[in-house]
Amino acid sequence: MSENKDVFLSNLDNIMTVRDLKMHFPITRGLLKRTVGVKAVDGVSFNIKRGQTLGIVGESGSGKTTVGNCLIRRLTPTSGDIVFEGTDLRDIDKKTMRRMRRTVQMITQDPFASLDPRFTVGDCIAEGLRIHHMISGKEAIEERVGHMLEMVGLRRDAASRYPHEFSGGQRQRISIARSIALQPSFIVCDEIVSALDVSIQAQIIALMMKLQEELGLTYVFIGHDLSVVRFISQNVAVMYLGKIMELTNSDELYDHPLHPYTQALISAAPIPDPIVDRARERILLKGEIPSPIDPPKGCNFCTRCPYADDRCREEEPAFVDVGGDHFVACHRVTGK
Amino acid sequence: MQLLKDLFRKKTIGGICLVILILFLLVAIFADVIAPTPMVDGNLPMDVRAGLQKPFENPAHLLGTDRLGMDLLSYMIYGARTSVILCVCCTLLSTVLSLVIGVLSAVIGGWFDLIVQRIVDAFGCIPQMLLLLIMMAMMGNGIPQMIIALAVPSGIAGSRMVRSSAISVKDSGYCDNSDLLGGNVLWKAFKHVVPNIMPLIIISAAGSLGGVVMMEASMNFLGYGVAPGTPSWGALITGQGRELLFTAPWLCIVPGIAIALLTFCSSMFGDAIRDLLDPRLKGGVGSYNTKKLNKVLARLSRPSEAAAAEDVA
Repeated sequence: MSENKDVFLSNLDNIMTVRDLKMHFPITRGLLKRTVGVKAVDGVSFNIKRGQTLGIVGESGSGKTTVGNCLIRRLTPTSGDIVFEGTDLRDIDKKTMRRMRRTVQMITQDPFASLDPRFTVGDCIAEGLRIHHMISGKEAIEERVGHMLEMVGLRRDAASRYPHEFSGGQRQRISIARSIALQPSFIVCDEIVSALDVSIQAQIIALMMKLQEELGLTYVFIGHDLSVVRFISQNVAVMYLGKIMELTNSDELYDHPLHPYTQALISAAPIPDPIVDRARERILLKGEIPSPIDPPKGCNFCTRCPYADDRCREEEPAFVDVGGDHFVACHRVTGK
Repeated sequence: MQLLKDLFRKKTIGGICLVILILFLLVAIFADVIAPTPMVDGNLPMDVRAGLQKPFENPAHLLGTDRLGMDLLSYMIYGARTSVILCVCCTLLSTVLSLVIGVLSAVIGGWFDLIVQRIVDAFGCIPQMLLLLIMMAMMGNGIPQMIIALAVPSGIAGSRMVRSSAISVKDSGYCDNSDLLGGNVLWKAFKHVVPNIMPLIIISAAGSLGGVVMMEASMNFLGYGVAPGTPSWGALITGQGRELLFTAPWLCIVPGIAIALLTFCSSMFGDAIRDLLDPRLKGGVGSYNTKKLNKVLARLSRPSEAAAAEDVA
């Protein structure tokens, strides 16, 4: 286990390395005001290669958005290291963090809430430039905004209009333009296509991939749509109840899923071919995701796993490489 | 400038109201020049024998006279000085105060919010009139003192409303996003929160303008207003107007109309500005365009005519 992690760190291609990240939210409850921790993220490790995309999938409440918020230091993790380009994001103070926002950006889910209705589109995109005093002069800013609009596939004259005049997909393009205007190298995309129509989703994904190629961006792509995440990501992490269950490159994950949870997820995703879809075997999970306040002993997935045995209920499986950069946390796979 | 142009083109009534408000202000400023009978040594000339003349009877006293024979028109013009200036200053001061307290309280949050809101609560516990009287007793009579005494408590009370709407803006997606872009608290407060709660601020400020005149009047009535003898609309209503309500109703009606006009104009002007500042409305919705009204009325009347024509056929 420990050797594995050192191999993780020594790789210089990694733009970000996350080790044993934990984010526990304290809540007080009951008559005695006991403080219990909601273990939203509980020991997550991965690294992200420069210029690539790491997908994070999982059902609601699995902690994927919390991971995203920790990566850009919107939340201060309870413990663990987040090393970005050689600096540990856990140690930086508020001022440095604000400066970091230029290189580490986030695009959020809801394009209808994320743009100020009183800003013109141009002002929205220039907001970051103005905050960081990156460009001065009205014309220089206008030029930059126009360039950004063209990059995301909108017309230059959109700058003088207001956000309410645009559709959801266009607004998401404006959000993207606002983020890339700061010339970041790392972007966390938090469910950026979930609020959009399927046809628009494809356009936005294509745009994100084009921008990645042109600007050499690194993405963390958080989503719950498996096919979308597979399409854009080189590596995919499957999260369940605050832990990564399986992590490998996307083709390997979808073709040979090892963890029972991954298998269940993939079998639940629709296949656009009714004959294949009817013929395949479905793995149906029973019950709901357990509460992160009181996760099960042993393997987090043992309450819903069809293969769970006594060992799974007692002992937590380690997150190990089973060969070919395929990491998985399951007793059944890693051997008895 | 574009705003002013839009105001007259799209919101004609709002524009007219602005003109009336400016007229009020000019009258207040140039009272000495305009008044038919100017002040002598800081007092309006009195003539008890010419007391209680009705309006429009004597061209020398167009709006009539009061019990002491003071010319009512001159009194109103000099009263504008007290009332209009008091209103405008007071409303501006209290709006700025509630804006600063409310927005900072909402945006900074945490302990700061908790402490500031308890102070606001403490002010709210004291009856407003009592608070006014205490402040006036401490500071003495006079217009600047009255402005402070009227503006501070209402500004503090208003901050609560500002805070609650500022909190909802602060929690919105675009405020979170300015965090993500690296903006600090002040950026968030002045770039996002203040512009987005502006409609509410404008409306409440415009609405409270008329209330100030009446507060000033009730303070005069209790003897804590402006220096005795200084003309003011409120003082006229609560003084002679009230006493002689049945014998000389014009002493109440004339200042009453002036106060109503001031309140109405400020409300309509505020309303127009609010609509014009909202990019989503673009001054289109709620614009008081009489042409449009005529069109709607014409359309409404048409079906009945058509029906009548059918009946004939």
